[in-house]
Amino acid sequence: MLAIRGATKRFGDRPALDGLDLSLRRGEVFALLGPNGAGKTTTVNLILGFLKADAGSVRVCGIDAGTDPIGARRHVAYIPEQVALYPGLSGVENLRYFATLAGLDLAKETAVALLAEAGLGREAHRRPAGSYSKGMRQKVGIAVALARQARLLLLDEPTSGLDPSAAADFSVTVRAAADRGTAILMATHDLYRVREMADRVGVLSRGRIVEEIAPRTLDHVGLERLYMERLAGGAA
Amino acid sequence: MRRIAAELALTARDARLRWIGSVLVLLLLVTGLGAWRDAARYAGEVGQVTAAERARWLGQDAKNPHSADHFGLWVFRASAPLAVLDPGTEPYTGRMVRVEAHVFNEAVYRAVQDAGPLARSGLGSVAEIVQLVVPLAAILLGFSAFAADRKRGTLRLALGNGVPPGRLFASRFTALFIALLAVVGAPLLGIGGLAVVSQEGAGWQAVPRLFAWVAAQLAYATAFLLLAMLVSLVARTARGALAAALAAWVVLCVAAPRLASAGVDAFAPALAYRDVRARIDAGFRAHRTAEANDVRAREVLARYGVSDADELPVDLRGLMMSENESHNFAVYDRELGAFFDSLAAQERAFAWAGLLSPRVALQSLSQTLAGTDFAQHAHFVWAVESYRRGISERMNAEIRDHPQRGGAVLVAGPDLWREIPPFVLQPLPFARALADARVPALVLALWLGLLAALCIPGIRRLRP
Repeated sequence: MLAIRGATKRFGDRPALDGLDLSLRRGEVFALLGPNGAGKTTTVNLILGFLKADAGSVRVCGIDAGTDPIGARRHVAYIPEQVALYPGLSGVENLRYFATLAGLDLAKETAVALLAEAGLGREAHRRPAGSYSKGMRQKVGIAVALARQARLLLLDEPTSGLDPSAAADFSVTVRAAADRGTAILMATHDLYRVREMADRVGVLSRGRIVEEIAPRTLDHVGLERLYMERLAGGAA
Repeated sequence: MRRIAAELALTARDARLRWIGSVLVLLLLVTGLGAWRDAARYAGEVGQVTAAERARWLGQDAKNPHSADHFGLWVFRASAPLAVLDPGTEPYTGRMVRVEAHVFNEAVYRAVQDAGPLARSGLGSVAEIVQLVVPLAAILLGFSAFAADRKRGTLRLALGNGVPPGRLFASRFTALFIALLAVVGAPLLGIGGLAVVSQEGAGWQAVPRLFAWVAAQLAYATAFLLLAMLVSLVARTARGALAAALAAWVVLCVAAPRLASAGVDAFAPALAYRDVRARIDAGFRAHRTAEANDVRAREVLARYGVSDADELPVDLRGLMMSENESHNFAVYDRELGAFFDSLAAQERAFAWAGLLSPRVALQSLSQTLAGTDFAQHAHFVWAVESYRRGISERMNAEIRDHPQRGGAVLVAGPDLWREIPPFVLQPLPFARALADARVPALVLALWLGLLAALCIPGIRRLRP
């Protein structure tokens, strides 16, 4: 589903990614863990074709995201860290608008069901999105991504802004998507959710994966300790 | 279609569209209905005065035909039906001419003499509003097409979820174009339709003219919509996109037309009208001397093989007047023709100057399609002159064919006056307007093509 080979990206003199290798199979959840500036968002932007790698390749379902970003994005669904919506449209309208532009014919009932699955209360479906909290917007973003039934789901700090209950619901939703065969790449700081959701964790430091961990072999404390050690090692 | 409907629904929720649309429609309606009222009043006045002049001509006393030729009458130019939308050159050219023997009178009474403060501010006509305000409206609708989405973050969500940039651009452009159709095309068709049905306009082919004219205005508005969307594609912020688009508006709608006028004046100068009149008068004078008259009289007698005018089978005075008129006609046609040719050359140069700005191209195209360009005025001048010559020829023929002996004077009456038909101006056909519109239409199409082509790399490189 996703194959990144030796991806390098620099912004001026500053390296953002330094020979990143990463691959992701069908139905697998991979978490990219790393501090701010480690290269998580750059990786996501390379996969989406918003940035082009200086060296190496990024392939989504066999399509080079550098040379054919639109083709690559056809197979991707994406939830950004800050989900932005049209404030004058309701949640249902926003969801149907994005789905329509992406070429989907989403019935109103289906949109309502997807929003419910994403955890947005029914009373909010018809309210203008301008009145939504960050968490509510995030849930609409989740519904937008779910509606696409894409082969690769990219999540950039997906639980940021969600209350604990919603974050737990989100974990269930993501696991269900993975069980349906969707490959999921999650860039996050949230160790707790990582352990809950991810099959594999890559610790990203200075643009490289310095450690790959199977999170379920560790408890939360162990995962956090290992993460801090690897970061310290990567920074050394 | 679903995508366009979705974009339309989003656009309709935008309060900007309602405000811009309301102001624009109000401005167009106030100006257009005011022009329609003025045009209806002028058409009524033309009808009344023309009827009165006809009655005065037919009711004149019995007199010598040459005196009747000097009696003269006023003829009027009816306004083009679409002058309500674009008066073009009509306000700056005379509307009435006194037709009389020997005298090549100028068209007098220009509408700008009655121009109000709105006209002097540069927004006196629907066409001026379209040329200046509609681009602003298109910019205000289009500048945020992508820049605002980029700033808000919705562009990231859309592109990241498989929305192809080309499809996004096409559906957004179509929705905004439909909005322009509603706030620009519909009022223009409404005002134009009112003008067409309420004004007699035989020969104008006003309906196809109206549709072609509105299509040209929409093409112009579309060019600015594309410009605004192009800026929006590449600008980092909505504010930056708006500033850049407004700067482009100042250059294209204000500065470039001035530059085009000055450039055309410098590189294709028209003849000065006072010099043309001086040459016409000099040409007449050279033929009017007593010596020249004697020479021509002797030539006539020799041609008929007689030595005295009383022996001629025709009236010498009538014959001499006919020959004199023929000479003057030739001088007038040559000099005024050269003057009109120089103005036509300027108009052609101005149409090509549309490469500097779509507004220049539209100015040229709009007047031509509306039937208010200089070609129509020149056609009126020639038609009046032809009518004047027809009257003189008929009166001179009456004198020539009825020679009077021993100092008797020929007297004619109403039967002869009725032989002179009322003046009816058949406008230049629409096919001629389409032929004249080729260059400005091509230039406007080039602008559309250029702006659309410039959007393509912007669409391909569209990033959140």
